[in-house]
Amino acid sequence: MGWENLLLGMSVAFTPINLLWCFVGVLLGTVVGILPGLGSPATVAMLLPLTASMNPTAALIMMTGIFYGAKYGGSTTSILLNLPGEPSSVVTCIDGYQMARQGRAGAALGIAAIASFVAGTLGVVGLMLVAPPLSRFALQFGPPEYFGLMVIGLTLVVFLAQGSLLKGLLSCILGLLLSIVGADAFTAESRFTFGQVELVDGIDIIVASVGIFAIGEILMNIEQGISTTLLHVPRGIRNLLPSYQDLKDSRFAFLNGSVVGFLAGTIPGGGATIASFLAYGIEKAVSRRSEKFGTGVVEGVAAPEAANNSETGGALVPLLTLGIPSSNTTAILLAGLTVWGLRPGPLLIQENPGLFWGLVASMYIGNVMLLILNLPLVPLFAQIMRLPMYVMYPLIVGISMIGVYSVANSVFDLWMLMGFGLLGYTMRKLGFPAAPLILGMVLGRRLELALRQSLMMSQGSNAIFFTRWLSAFMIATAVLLLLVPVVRRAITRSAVFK
Amino acid sequence: MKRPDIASGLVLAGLGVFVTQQAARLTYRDEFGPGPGLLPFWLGLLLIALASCLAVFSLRRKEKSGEVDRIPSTEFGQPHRISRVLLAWLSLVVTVAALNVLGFIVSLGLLSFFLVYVVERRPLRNAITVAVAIALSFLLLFRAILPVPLPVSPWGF
Repeated sequence: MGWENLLLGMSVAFTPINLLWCFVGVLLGTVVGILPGLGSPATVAMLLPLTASMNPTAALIMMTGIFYGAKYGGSTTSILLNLPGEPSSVVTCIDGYQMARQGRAGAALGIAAIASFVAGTLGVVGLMLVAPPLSRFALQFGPPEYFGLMVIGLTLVVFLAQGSLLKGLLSCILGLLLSIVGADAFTAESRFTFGQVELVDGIDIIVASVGIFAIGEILMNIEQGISTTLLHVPRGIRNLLPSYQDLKDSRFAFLNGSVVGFLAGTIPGGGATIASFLAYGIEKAVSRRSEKFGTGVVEGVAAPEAANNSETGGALVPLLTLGIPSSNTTAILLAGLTVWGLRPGPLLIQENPGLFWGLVASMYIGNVMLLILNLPLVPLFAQIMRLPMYVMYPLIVGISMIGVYSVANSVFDLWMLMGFGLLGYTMRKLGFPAAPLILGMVLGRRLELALRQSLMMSQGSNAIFFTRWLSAFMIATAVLLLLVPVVRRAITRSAVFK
Repeated sequence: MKRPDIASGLVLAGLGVFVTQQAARLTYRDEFGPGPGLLPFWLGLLLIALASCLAVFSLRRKEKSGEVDRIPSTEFGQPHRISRVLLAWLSLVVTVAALNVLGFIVSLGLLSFFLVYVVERRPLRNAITVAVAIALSFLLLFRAILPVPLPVSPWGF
């Protein structure tokens, strides 16, 4: 990578028209990210036909702006309303909402914006520096390696289960079972659909997460009789932004999230949701105050937000270097490259250096724009919390219903939303953590797919997971992660006895 | 929280039995390898095992000091509180049922009124204000400004 390429990119990105489209993309992305259900894949798909006549560089800049802008917006409702705007913002609900309940909504929003900026920028640096070699590495991922990755993801349940590990495991199993509802990927045999046509495609993660987190929380608050302002909003802008201590506490979370997110993004099927869970789990595992995670620690917001933003840079690596999409949004961007008259594949960068480097430069600019857009809006967003809860309840329900309905324009999804809402309330009452259930839903199908493909490859032999070095390494890593709480407890006990 | 844990353990174990039974009807293994019944079968068994552990441990366990319970402390089982929750939840269900008849905006307005006036027992004026404000806001934002598809009534709104 030469600096002259980046200068070329800057000269492309800094044209007035490209700056304008970058701004349009990130602004639209932020709005889309705030609204649950209306995710970046749907928005990019809806706008794609309109970009057919646009300059390819401008179109790609705008569409990519929507992609990473949505990551910024997704944390807003997660923190303020316990309502994940994007699937990758589910984990932010865990500590972000608790911070808001403690009167630190502004600090949470601010740290989310800063984490997004830092990690988004690092993700672009990663894209710029390591795109070709890393995408070649990702090609080594076959079904056994994906299985290993999913196993690592499942071990995170031990970090997400607050209080009772047994209940955490049970939640995770429920999530895995929910994930396999629908038609089997290999045989099309219906599983647990009970004759409902709407369930053939499975249960959407947005329906489950909005129901469990948002509706469940509302029911919980109604039971507690909280009708006035729940969340204390401090006065003065200084109190509404993260403190120096918050930034200091989050510095490793920024790095952890950036690396995890970027790597997860390069792997097709990795995705920002898994990345955010992974980063949260790792942060909790290595933190000196891991027992406080879930009660409103700033690292619990910084790590997942960093991961889900850095994932953008990673996801663009296989797309732009190999023509392989690694997520829904990048799949639509791939279609866009064709619509714009480009040839996705290994020669894209060589044939269109201005396009690639212009995009890279615009992502630097876009991240700055998003930081400038989001930080001053923190006090405005925080003011929403001054509304009495009896006003917030129907507001949250309305936004939830719109978000869920917009997934598939299906009233059946709204029935499921209410069902999950009751489930979320019941889980909270009984002390079952919700995050492992969502994790199970995210991983279940992919785990099964990887498992069955691997066993087909090996004609039924389990040795395939251990004879391939990358898969064996991942499974060994998962086992080590499982041992972390055990080792930590042993160290604590020996310290107490001394 | 012993009795609820025992009950939830038993319910989940029952669910595990159901899942295992349903999975047994699916293809466990076919000529190409594992079938669609493999994972749900073993998940069902795991669910039975872990849920049974929960029920059994809860029967034996004493309350440990320092055992962290992350959910807000509420008196589980107070009838008047539970009935408020069920009333609120039923209103959400009725709202969904009414969507195809009344459309989204009207249904949301009525739900807002019900939640504020009946469930939260706020003054009538507050309830009407909130209901109208929310319905109009959603109409403006999601129908007029953002072309987001919403369920509509047979009368087009």
